[in-house]
Parts: sequence; structure tokens; C-alpha cells
Amino acid sequence: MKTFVASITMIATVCMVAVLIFDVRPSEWTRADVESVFRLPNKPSNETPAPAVSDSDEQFGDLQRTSKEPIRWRSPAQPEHNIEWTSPSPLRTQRPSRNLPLDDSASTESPGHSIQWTLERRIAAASVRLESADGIVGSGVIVTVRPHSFEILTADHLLSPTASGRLSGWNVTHLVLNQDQSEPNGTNNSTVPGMKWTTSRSLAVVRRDTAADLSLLRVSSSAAADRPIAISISGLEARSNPSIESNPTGSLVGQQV
Amino acid sequence: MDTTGIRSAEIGSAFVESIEMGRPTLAAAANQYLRLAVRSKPGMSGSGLFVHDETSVASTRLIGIASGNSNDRAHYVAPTVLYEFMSSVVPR
Repeated sequence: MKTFVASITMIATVCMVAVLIFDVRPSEWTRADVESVFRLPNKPSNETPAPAVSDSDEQFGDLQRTSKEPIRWRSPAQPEHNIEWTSPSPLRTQRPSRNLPLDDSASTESPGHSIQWTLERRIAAASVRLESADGIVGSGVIVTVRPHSFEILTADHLLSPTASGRLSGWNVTHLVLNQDQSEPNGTNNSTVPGMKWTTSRSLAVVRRDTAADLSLLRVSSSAAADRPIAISISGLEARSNPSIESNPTGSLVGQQV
Repeated sequence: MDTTGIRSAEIGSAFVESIEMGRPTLAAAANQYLRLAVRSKPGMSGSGLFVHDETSVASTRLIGIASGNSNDRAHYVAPTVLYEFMSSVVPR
């Protein structure tokens, strides 16, 4: 128990926002960022987290505890997980493509000029905002980057009309890649031109897992679609008023955000 | 990771209070969640929770995806669940 608590404490301590600064050339940082940031989480050590539930089943707030199930990391027989989510090819074997999404070679920095990027920027650049016509509806993280597409991991309930009533089908209308972060020197990079994709066929669902509340979306671009800072997927209708009360089945136990 | 802002993403630190079993629907199987000491706000669903190993920049990892709130605490899909999900998509 102490070990577990110590482990959690350590995770929390290091969780987010260490200001490690490193040099990455603008033409390379994007792919490297994604590949380095989004690796499969390491399987935790052999520690078994202590049960954090009571002895009896309990409906607590919005999420339901299931105390009869032991809390343990799954697949204990699996080897240590250190598999990157990014496809091993062709991204790792090719030179950075001008068509790579997130390629910020059009940034205001001179080509080849080495600048300092913070860890925060790395993470921010690979995080996306899913926006409906009615406003912000969710977020996601880019877990895979390919020459003409990338994939976004997000919460499945954003796509489920029976979950929160937030979205219906493929109601993602805007994906905003957060590349307009301020530079370390205080200047803002918001002048990087955006790119809009206007076909709904650009968005596909790779996999959904409602029980796990995870979805993987693939956003594709044309060969000419480089640097998709903002992506618009038209022909999609958003539903408004995302609230738990709109759940028609009443089965949703989470107050999803 | 808060990407709900109009122009930029915000990163804040978070304290993981516990690992809990929960499920998004009554019919769903239970999954692990990381419970944070903060509440997430609308628009953060699907956003990432990261852990950073200061010994290596490249070791920063995604360990959670925001799912919802319970008892006024944000719950993130746990890394083991992420792994299983992604393993089913990405060949090992």
C-alpha cells in the first residue's frame, strides 16, 4: 500500500508541466514530438494497486464503483509495454514530409533555425480541440501521425448520441490543433496559416470502445493538405446542450465532460 | 491538458488521488480510472493526462483520457485501458 501510494504520489508529482527545454529544429519537431510523447504507457511495476473501493457495491456520484472486482493492472503476463503508438513506418524511415500534418515548417522561424521548445509546447501541439458548430464539445490527443493523416484518441461518449447527447454521429466540425502557442521569446505563432478540410470523408472512425469510453478517429488530408492547423469537416450537424440530463436511457452514470 | 481555450492549450499539474474501478454506463464492464483531485470542465472530455519522467524528455507518456466527473473529481481512463485499446489498433 505504501509503495502504491508512493508511486501515485510520484506520478502526481511529475505529472504534467515539467519545463524541460530542448532544441528541436522546426522541420522535425512535430513528428518527433508526437512519437516521443505518445507512447504506450509503460506497464506499471509489479505493484498491485490497493483497492480504492468499499466492500459493497456503491453508486458514488456519477460513476459506479464495482467493488467486487479487484483492482489490478490488466494483462499481468504481458511484457513491459514500451510500444510507441505511432506507426513504425513510414514515418520513422522517411525524411520529414512537407505534407505531414503538424509540420510547422511554415512557422515564422527561419528554416533550420534551432529554437527551444518546451515540453508544454510538445504536448499542446499534439492536443486537439473538437469543436462543434455550437461550440466546444471535447478534446483529443494525436496519437499517430502519418504523411497524410493522423489519428486522434478521444472520449467515445463524444460520438455517442445516447451518451451525453452531445454529439450525433460524426459531429466533429472543427479540430483545432494548438499550434498557436506563444514562443519562448514571447512572440505568438498564431500567424501560421491554417488548413481546412471540407469533406466529411476525411474523418473516419478507426475504433470505438464504448465501455472503455475511448474512440480513435482518423483524419485524412489530401496530398496538398499540409500544416492543418484548423480543420473543418463540413456536412456534420452538432447537437447542442450537452448535458447528462439529455441522456434518454438514463443509463449513463458518468457526468461526462 | 485543457484545450478548451479558443486560442491555446493550457497545461496544468494534477494530483492523482486514486485508481478506481468504474464504468461509463450501467451495462458496461468496469474499467480503471484515475481519479484526480480536480474537477474537469466541459470540453475537456478526451483530453490527455500526461506523466513526465524528468530523466528523459522522450519518456513523457499519455496516461489518461478525460472521461467524466464523479464526486466532483475528474476521472481519466487509466493507462492500462488505453494500452488495451491502442494495442487492438496498432500492431505490436
